Amino acid sequence: MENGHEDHEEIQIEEIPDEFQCCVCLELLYKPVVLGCGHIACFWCIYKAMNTWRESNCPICRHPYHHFPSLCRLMHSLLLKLYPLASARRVKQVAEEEKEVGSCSPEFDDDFSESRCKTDLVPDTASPHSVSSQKCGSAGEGDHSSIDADVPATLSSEINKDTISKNLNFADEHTSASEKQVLMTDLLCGICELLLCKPVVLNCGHVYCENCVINPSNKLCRCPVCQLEHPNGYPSICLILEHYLEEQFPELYAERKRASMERSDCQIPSKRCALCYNGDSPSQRFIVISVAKEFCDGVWWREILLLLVVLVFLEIRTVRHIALIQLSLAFYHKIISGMTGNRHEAAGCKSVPGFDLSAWLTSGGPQVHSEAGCDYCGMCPIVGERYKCKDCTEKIGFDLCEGCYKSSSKLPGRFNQQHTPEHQFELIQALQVRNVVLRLQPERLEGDDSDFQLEYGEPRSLEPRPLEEDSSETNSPRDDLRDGQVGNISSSSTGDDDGGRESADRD
Amino acid sequence: MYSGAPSGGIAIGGGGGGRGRGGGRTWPSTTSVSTSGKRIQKEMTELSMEAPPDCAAGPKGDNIYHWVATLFGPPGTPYKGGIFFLDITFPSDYPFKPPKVVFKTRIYHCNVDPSGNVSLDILTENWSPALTISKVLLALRSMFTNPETFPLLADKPVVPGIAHLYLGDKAKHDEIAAQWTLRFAR
Repeated sequence: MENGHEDHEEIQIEEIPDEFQCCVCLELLYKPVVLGCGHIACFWCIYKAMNTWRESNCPICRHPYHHFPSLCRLMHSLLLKLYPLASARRVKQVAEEEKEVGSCSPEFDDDFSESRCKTDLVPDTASPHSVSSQKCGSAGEGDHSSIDADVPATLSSEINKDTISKNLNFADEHTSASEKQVLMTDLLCGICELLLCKPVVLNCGHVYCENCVINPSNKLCRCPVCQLEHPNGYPSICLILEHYLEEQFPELYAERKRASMERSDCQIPSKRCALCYNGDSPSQRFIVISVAKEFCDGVWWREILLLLVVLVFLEIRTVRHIALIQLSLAFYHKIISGMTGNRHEAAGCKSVPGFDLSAWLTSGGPQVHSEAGCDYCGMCPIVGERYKCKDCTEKIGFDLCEGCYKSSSKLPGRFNQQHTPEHQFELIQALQVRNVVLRLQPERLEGDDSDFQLEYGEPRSLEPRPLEEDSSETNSPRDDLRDGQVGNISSSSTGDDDGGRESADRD
Repeated sequence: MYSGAPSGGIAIGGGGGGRGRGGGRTWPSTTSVSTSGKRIQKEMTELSMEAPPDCAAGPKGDNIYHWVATLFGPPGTPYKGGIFFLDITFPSDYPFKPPKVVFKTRIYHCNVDPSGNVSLDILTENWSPALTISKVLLALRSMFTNPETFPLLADKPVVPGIAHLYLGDKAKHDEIAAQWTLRFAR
């Protein structure tokens, strides 16, 4: 029996400590994503827990976030190494679930190790992955084609067995003393190339030391590898990873921590905020900045008041801070204006969420595309303009937000979509959703929106619905195209675009 | 990338989360337990290993989506000595939607309406998928000691009369609550 088999397996697998347990599914973390607050959960768990109508909240600390983070590759390979048997079980489990849903989570080419096993495993893994992505494509073509999807599905289960056995082999080989060394090389910061110290995970899934990546002189946190900005302020330290580092490399980590403290101390005059900053948490700085921005518009008494508030807030402890009270107003004003200037720059960038669902619904705020997320930056729901790929056949679709559409980055989709740069995009209007929502009683919007999502769980087909009263507003995207309101839709080639438009007309 | 839609699609099995998509043929009957089922089973084993104090919970029958829980009135409260039975119903997309908790035993408490519905923020808008039944039971237990009298909003199933009595004349409130406990929860 299947159940008996599962139980038998359960006895064999390793004991998973609580910290590596996903808070949502209560299993070993699999394909972990790390939120800006530093909490970890599985890819699918976070995906399913996200609110599609407004900002989501961390399941653990309720910290708000608007961007679905990318997989944390470092954590993923670490977990595969630490718990190969349990991971193998999870691989199988998740593959089954994905088969049912018909969409895939991102795959890594080198699932097991980035450093040591790369050379001998890449040729092996290359072929199964191409097969599995084919499977994804065929499953996404349509639900009625499930019979066709059966064949690749069996293939994929074979692949799973393959990967599992590979995992096991790997485990047998490396459970010896060399294991520690392998782990050490996997836990290096990409910038300083030393052991991670106070690790922070950016939205793109890359892990760095806090001191390496957070630079107070510019208020944005940009990944040096993929050049993506970390949205919504600074990431917090991933405490689970830090705890693991502390346990695994006690002396080395203590030394690294000491060194980074010294470094940050001598950085204060040049890089850190001269007003207040003595290694406090980044969030404190942000509160100061936002208060400054809101409050003092060049009015002098407000600045004095603010200075006092700031000093009280930051708990003056050291002599240096007391000396700062004597700062001249001019100097202070300069700092504040510098800070607010930077902040304004940050607010102008796409990564800082500033959306209001009700503003869009009632007045002319930016559109909110519920149920749609950007495949590059992970923004969900998309605020502003939404570009949908016309050529991706996967059921999950491929969408971009305005900022990512205009950027030149060419990242793969979040769900293994077979998207290529040649694909064409169309601009999607969310007016239909708004019209539907406006017809409901307004209290439904503020109250529990769960029922609402169930009832209107499929507003994804954005073709015009027969709305009699306000048909003027319910232009389909294609109508908009024809009217020429959005002329620069296709970035690749205008000729193709015209052809597409004509064919749309013919339809 | 669409979001949110598969939450209904993944959940299959006992809770009645249907899966007949697009009218095509359905997959052969389950070999894998759904996400929600797995999670509920996990919670079940964890509860049986270490239950929170003065609480017990488990499935009612064969259906793991219907549980029955028992709360013992904590000492030092008017509910002392009472045994309160609750019905817990898990939605098919648990843990992304909160479970439904209903008191089966009558109780004099400002957060439990006459039909047994509990007004607890973590069971409605403040639900988080990281919460488990044992945490919910702990929250219910602390509700016995500290009734939530603050959100006296019209749309909450709070009993305002009891809340007013609790705030104005706690001795009387405790007396009635103890009487009710004696009558219904022994």
